[in-house]
Amino acid sequence: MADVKTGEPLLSVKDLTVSFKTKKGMAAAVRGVSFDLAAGESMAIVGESGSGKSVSSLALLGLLPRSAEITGSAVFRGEELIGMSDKKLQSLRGRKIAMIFQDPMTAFNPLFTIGDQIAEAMEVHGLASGKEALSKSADLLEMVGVPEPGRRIHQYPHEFSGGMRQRAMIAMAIANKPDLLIADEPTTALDVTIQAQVMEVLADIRGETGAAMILITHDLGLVAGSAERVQVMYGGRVFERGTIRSIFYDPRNPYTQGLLSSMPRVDNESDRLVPIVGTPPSLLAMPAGCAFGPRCQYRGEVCGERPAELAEVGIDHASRCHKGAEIPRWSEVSA
Amino acid sequence: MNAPLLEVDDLKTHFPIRAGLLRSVVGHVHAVDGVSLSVQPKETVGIVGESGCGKTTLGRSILRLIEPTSGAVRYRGEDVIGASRQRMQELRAEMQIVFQDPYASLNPRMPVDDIIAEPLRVHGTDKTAARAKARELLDAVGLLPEHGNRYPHEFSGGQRQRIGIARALSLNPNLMILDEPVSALDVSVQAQVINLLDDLQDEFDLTYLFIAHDLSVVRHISDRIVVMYLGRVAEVADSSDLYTSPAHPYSHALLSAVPVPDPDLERDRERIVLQGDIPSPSDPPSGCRFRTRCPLAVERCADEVPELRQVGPGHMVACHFPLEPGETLIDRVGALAV
Repeated sequence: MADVKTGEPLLSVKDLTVSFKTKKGMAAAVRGVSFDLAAGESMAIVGESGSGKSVSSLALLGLLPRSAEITGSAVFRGEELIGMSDKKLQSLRGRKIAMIFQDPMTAFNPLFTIGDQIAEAMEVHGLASGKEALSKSADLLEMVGVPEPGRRIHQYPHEFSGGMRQRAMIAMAIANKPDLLIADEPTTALDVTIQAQVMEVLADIRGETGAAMILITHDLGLVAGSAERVQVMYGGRVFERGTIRSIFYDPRNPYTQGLLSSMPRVDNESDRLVPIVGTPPSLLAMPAGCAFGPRCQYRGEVCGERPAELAEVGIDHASRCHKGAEIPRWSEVSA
Repeated sequence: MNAPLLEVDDLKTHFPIRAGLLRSVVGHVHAVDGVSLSVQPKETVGIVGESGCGKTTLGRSILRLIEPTSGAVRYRGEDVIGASRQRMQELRAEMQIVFQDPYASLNPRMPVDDIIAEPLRVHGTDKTAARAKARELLDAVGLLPEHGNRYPHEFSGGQRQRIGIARALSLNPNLMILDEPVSALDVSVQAQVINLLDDLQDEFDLTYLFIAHDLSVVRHISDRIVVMYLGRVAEVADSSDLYTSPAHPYSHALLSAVPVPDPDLERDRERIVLQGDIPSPSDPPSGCRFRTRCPLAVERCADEVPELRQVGPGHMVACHFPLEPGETLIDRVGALAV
C-alpha cells in the first residue's frame, strides 16, 4: 500500500467534494471521495455517466472550470493539491502526474507536429530542449509502438489514426517519467483490436517506468484485465471498493451486482440479461438518502432517509449499503 | 430452409472521392464491396465489425437510404433496388431502421406521440387513430402512454431509444435494421433495451438485422453473425459456432480482444493482439483485405481474393487458410513457426 521509504501513499485523497454552480442550483458531482494509492499501483474507477468518476481526477489536477467548488484534501508526494497555486500545479502536471484523455484529437494542437508537441512537454519542464527533445520524442514514439518514429515525429495529428494518436498521447504522458498516470477512458473511442494494442502498451510502459495508474472507465471488462484495485462510483460517491478479485467474484453492493448482471459477455451464452431498473440520477435531482435507492431491489425505509456509510465488509473491501447484511452473495445471485 | 425474408447479393456501395478545382473524381471509397447475405423470417442476424468495415453503409444501402452502386437486394423475393419511388415507400413500411443516437434522431420540437405517429400520418392514417396507436406503442416499449405529450429532451437516453424503437414499430414492419441501437447507453440501461428488443421480437414477430461493434452485445442477441472487414464479409456463422470455433483469423483475433469481466480469465487468456491499423477503405489491400494485419498471410493472400466458402453447416469463411474447429490462431502460428 505504501512507499517503502516513507511509509506514505503516493496519493492520498480525503473527503473530496466537487460541486458546480448551475442556473438550476448546485450540482454535487463528487460527494466525499477518499482513497489511497501506493506508488506503482494500478487502480480503476468505474461508473456510468454522471457518477463523478472523471470529475474527481480533473479536480485533483486543477483542470475544472472556476465555477467548480472543491473541498477536501488530496496529498500527492506530501504536497496538498487542493488549493495549490496554478503555477505550482503546472509544474506538477505533465511532470509528476500526467493525464491521458479519451479523445486524442482534441488533446493535440492540430497546428503543430506530434514531435514538437511531445518535445514541448519536456521543454516546459526544462528536462530536455531543442534537437535532444525531438530525438527523445522519437524514442518515446518507438516505445509506444509507433512505426517509423523518425518520420512520424514530423507529422501532424490528423495524419495519425485514432490508435496511433492515442499511442502518441501516451508517449507525451510518459515523456517526463511521471509517478502517476491518470487515464480517463483511454480506449473508449477506439476499435476493440486497437483497444487491445493500447492497453498492452499501457501495461508495458507501466512495467518499464513503474508509474502508478488511475484508470477511469465505464467498462468493467477492461478493468478486469488491467487494475489491481477498483472503486465503483455512483451518484458522486464510492459505492464499493476492493481488490479486483473481491469486486468481480464477491461484489457486495447491489449496484455492483446489478452492473455485472447487466453485462452481456462474449465468453458465454445467456438467455436473458438482468438489468437495473430506471436510469442513473441527475446531479440536480439526487434522490434523498441512498442515491441508488430508487433503483434498488433491496431498498427499505432507511434507504430513503439518509445515505449509507462506506463500511468494511472484508479485507481491503468496503461497500456502501444500509442493507449490507441482507444482500445475497454474488455466488447465489449469479447462479 | 424457408424462403428468406431478405437477400443481399454482391452488394457494392462506393463513394466517389472528389478533389481539385473541378471536383473531379480521383478515387472511390469501397465502403461496401460485394456483400451477400440472407436473413430468414424472425431471425436475428448480427453484423459486426470495426470502424470502416461498412456495416452502417450496408444497413442504409439495403433500405436505399444510400443508393448502392451495384448488386441486388430482395425483400420477400422482390427486387428492392429497382423498385419505383412509390413502391419503395410501401416497402419502407415493412423495413424500418433504428439509429444509434437517440439525441439526434428525434425532432426536438415535436411531442413524442407526434414523433411516433408521423410515419403513420405519412402513410395516410388519420390524426386521432395515429395518436391512439402512438400511445399504444409507448406502452409496448415500456413508457407511460400519458407521457406522449412530452418532448424528447424530457427523456433520458434509454427512454429516447425506446421512443425511436416505438416509431420504427408504428407501421408494423417485418424487418428492423438496428444500427448500434444500444451503443450510446450506459450498461445498466443498455441491458433494459436489449431485453425490450427480445420481447418485441416475440410479440411482433420481427426480423432483426442488428448492426454493432460490440461483440458481447451481438453474441447475446443474434442467432447468426456476419463478421465484416473493410467492406467485405469475412465470416458467417451461427452465433455459438462463431464464438466457439471462429474460422477466420480476423474473427478469432477480434473475439480474443474483447475484454471479459473476469480477472482470472483475463489473466490466463491467450490474446492475439493484431498489429497495425485498419487500412483505409479508399485504398484497400489487394487480395485478402485482412492480409496486412494477418499473422498467417502469405503471397497467395495478396494475389488472390478469398471467396466466401462453406466450412461447416451454415458456416462460411473468406480465407485461404481457415482455422480448423478447435484450432486457435496461436496454435496455427506456432505450427507454422516449427
